[in-house]
Amino acid sequence: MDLGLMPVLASGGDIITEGFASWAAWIILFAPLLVAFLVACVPAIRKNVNLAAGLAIASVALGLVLTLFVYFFPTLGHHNQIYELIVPWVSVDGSVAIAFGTRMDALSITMTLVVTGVGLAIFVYALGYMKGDPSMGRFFGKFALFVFSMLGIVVSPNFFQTFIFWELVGASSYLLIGYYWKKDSAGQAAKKAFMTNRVGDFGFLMGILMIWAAVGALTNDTISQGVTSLMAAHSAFDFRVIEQAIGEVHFTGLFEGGVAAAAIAAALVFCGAMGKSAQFPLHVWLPDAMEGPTPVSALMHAATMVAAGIYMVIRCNFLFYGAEWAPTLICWIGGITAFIAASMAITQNDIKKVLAYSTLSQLGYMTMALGAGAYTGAMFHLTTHAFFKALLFLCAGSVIHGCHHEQDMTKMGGLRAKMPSTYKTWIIGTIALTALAPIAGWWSKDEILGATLDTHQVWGSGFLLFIGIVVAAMTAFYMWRATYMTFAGSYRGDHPAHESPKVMTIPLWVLAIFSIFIGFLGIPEITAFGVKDANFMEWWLHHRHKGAAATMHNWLAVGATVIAWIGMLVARAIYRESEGKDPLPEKLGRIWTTWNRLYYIDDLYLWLVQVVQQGIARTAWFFERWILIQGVINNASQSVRVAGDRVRRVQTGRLGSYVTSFLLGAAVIGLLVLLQVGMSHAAGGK
Amino acid sequence: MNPLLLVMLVPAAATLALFFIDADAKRAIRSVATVATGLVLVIAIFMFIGFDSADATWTANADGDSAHDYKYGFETEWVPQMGLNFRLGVDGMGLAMVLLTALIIFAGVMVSYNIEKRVKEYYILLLALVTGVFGVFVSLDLFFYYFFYELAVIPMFLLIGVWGSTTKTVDQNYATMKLVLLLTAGAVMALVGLISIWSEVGSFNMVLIEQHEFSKSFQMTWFPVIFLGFAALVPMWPLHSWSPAGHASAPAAVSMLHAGVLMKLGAFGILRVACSYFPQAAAEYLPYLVVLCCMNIVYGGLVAISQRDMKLIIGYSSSSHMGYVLLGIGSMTLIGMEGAVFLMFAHGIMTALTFALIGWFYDQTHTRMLDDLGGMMKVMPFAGTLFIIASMASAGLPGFANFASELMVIIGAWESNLWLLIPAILAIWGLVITGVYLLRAVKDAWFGELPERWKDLRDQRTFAERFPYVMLTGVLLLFGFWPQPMITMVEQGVKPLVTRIDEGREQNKKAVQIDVPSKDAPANDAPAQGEER
Repeated sequence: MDLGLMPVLASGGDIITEGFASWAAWIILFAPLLVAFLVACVPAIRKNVNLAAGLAIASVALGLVLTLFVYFFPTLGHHNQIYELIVPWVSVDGSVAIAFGTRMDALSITMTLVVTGVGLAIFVYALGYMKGDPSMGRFFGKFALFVFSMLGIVVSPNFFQTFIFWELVGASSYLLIGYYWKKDSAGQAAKKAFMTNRVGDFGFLMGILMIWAAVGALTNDTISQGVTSLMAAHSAFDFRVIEQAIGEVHFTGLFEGGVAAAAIAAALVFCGAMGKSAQFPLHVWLPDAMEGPTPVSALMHAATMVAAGIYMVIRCNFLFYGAEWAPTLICWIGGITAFIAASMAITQNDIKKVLAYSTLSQLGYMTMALGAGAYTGAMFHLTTHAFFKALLFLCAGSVIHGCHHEQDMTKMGGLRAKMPSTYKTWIIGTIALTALAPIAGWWSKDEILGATLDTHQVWGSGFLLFIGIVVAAMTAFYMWRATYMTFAGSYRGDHPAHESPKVMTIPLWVLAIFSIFIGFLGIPEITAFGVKDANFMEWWLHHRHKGAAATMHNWLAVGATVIAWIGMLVARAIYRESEGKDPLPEKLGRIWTTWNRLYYIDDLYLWLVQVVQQGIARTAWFFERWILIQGVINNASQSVRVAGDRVRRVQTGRLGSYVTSFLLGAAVIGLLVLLQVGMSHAAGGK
Repeated sequence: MNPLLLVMLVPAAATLALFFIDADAKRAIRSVATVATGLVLVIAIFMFIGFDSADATWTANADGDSAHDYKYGFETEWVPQMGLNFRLGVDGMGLAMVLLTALIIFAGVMVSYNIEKRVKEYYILLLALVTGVFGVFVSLDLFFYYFFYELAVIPMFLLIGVWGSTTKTVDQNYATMKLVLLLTAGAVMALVGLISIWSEVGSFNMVLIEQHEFSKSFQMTWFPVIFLGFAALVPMWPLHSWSPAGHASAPAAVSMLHAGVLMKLGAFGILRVACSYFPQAAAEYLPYLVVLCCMNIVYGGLVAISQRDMKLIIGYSSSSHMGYVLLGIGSMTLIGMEGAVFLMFAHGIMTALTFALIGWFYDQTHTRMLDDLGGMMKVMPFAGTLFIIASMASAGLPGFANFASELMVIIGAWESNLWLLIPAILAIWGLVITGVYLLRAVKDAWFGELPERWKDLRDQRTFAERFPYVMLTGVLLLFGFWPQPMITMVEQGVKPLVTRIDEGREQNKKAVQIDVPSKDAPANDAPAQGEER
């Protein structure tokens, strides 16, 4: 029995295109955009901070409520329903070239709940965190724009729309990361995030076009009427069209190059996910993105932007399943990211940076699951991670807020007593992340490790499983290291620390409660206790393949937990009474330096940009300046001038020379005329 | 009254009227120019709205898919002895350009309010220039087509020469001379081609010419000549160097017209004359154009990366973006060509917006070098926000017309399958390059610390100051969110063209298959026709 190898289907089931439920998703999608627009264009709203924030919060809350009551609860009874409303966006020559719309199926409903649910908590929290910022109205406008962009990816029914919102997420993240635009580092980080994503999108767009061209070339001769009529209505970018086409003709019938071409297409599409979900080697933007305000970090690095890549791959999993080497590539990239990010996290002293690298590492886990074909597992981990990582970021924000914008953990300590609510919720989040006890991350991480053990489509999966377990230990180590440095011992800061206001701690508790219970949505089959059919997540997303259930590998679950505890205990031994001093740099020596310098990857990229790219650009400019302009154009005009000078000398003003040249000219013309006459005579004579 | 005639007459009449206004009555001069261009804009918008339901005045190739309607036609005799008629008419492609010109000149007139030097002459030349531009887009008579084409170039010379500026990077006189010489050289080349067309067909009527079946050898000879003549204006690599230098020394409104409209005259000529009259030659030559336009896209972008003068950055970026237009044309697919025309529109608006904004702060700072600027967001939040918007639009952000059109071009290039998809891939990579130089410009000029000496810079405050910028941004957003009306209109003009090129390609294939032995046959009939007349 394969674990999670059944694709999470984007299609199938009953399709509802009428009634309120078909277009309610449009309200969910466009409400935040409307708020962003109002904030941008109406100064009265922008300047009234509470109104702007209130509108932004209301728009997200509306999305959450609508998703719950229009989609989630009604669908629980008959969960294979799909609600869609798709209209042509660009038609060329009478047929739909690009369509736009919303499609709500189990997957997108889940993701919408995560985005709006976690988003709402973060929005409310931001109300407290950003208090006193003069341009808070602008902040909430951009925040709303960001949520709009993300929701667009979630509800997107086709690749092109996904790409549209993909770019919009990139741009709105640019605005949010660069929010403190007076700081040079913020401007740099924003630019870096945008450009790194652009590089990923380069591959993504090629992949999309490759698939689009292949699907669009299919005709009634090769595929059924159903698919072609669906294509006529929704364009060849549509996920359902592509999935059904692949279902009918397989990769071999779709691409000229067969499965090999399919693997290339899948890898190119995955490039997009590498950018957004910050996978090695495009992971460099994410830690820098911590330059934005903390609520932004929480939103981008928990529930939204970085989740977009994972979500997109789950959405079009049919491209990856069985695409030769593509799953292996994905799985390895996930494993590498998980490991290098965890090792980088160990060396960080900035509390937000620790969480940033931890996010990278967890995204690596999710990507591993994608490669192993455990799409449900990836989605499950995405969901749980969204809650506990948002919680941790917000706790970090609360700590930073309480310590007067101090982010360095060596200057914290002893906050356990000073910030009790923050401390308690942080501990819950850390346990959820490090999988010490069966809440949240314990279940989802276990499912991913199990999937890596079970998979058959990945070369070297055994090694990746080993990496996964090592990373579990490292995760526990760096998280508890951060915990002890921040909350244990005595306070080392200059300004007195204080607990954050209620508007910030209440969202913390809400997220903490979710972090405890969200894991129970995915209880696998545990033979030892006779647990069966308790896996809501799997049932919900896999509704058509209810038979295939995730099974817990008992020894793996126990082993991973023990290892996590070991990691935690080691951290406790080193940092509990270290008072902010870190003995690791001396003990690990060069390894620590390598980790702290991020494996020199950022340095390499800096060199590539500053030396290679600038070098090429300068060469082009040199060519333009000296060869094209100076060499060709200016010389050409110069030669015209010189020629003019020469000709001018003929105009001497002396009668004699004029007469001479006149006679010479007349003679030449006369000769030519004679020649012409003679030749025409000769021709006529024939 | 015929709307196209009005579009021509209103700016022409305003030009004349300005002669009789006292040079010191600056307010009156500005008002006349504003009202005239505003009126033209209103007419253009009404034509745009009513275009679908308007009746065709003339139809070229009245059969099937290649039937090409010209609407809002107007005709009157000019010099009957020569068969010269003053004939106006537009298809969807032409009307898109008319709308673009109307939008830009209206915005250009409004952003030129702060010009104080020789106001009267400035507006006279600006209006004369735009009359010429409108003339090119709406003329259906070869003589007037060329006449207006030249009319658009000459005022440019004076506008840059008198109201322009010399900076560290570009000398004004040099730039002016280069611009005019290269444009005139291109125009003369095109003229030679146009004369050859006239002598072949024996008529100036462009509807008749379009129906004329030119022999393959005639097409193969004259396509390159006409094409290169227009391509200098696009500007196609390697004929582009007049353009960034011209921008750099031109005043804001002239840069707007120059990048927004003048460059489009070249691409429009390529479509209207070269491709439309010589479809068989187009099918043969355009694949090579695709190679050159990759140079535009990548090389233009790379040169833009190494610039520090804002206007040079945008100038080279324009050359890079026009590469996408050429790529769309070269793809010879319906979606690609529609994207190309749509991009001409979108790029015109976007680049006009950018140049207007650069002009706004240059008037105060007298420097455009990125190293001298910084942190201007603090004193100019309005201008800064719009500059970021324009840069994002230029970098192909969804929600703006540029995204929709550029993606259509890329899709078309992908569909055309030319040169192993390498041009399409380079075009996608071009999006990354665009991001590099634009984000750098945004960061260096608007973000960071504000130097002390720029503390007193002024933002746009009044309604009249803000209106042109808001209008251009609004248009970008409107067609970004809802591109279909523009695409439908453009399709009306482009579809017959693509159909004809497809037919031309089929003919070429047949000629190769059947006529291999009698290779010389088509070569003989061109001179034969010439002798008959």
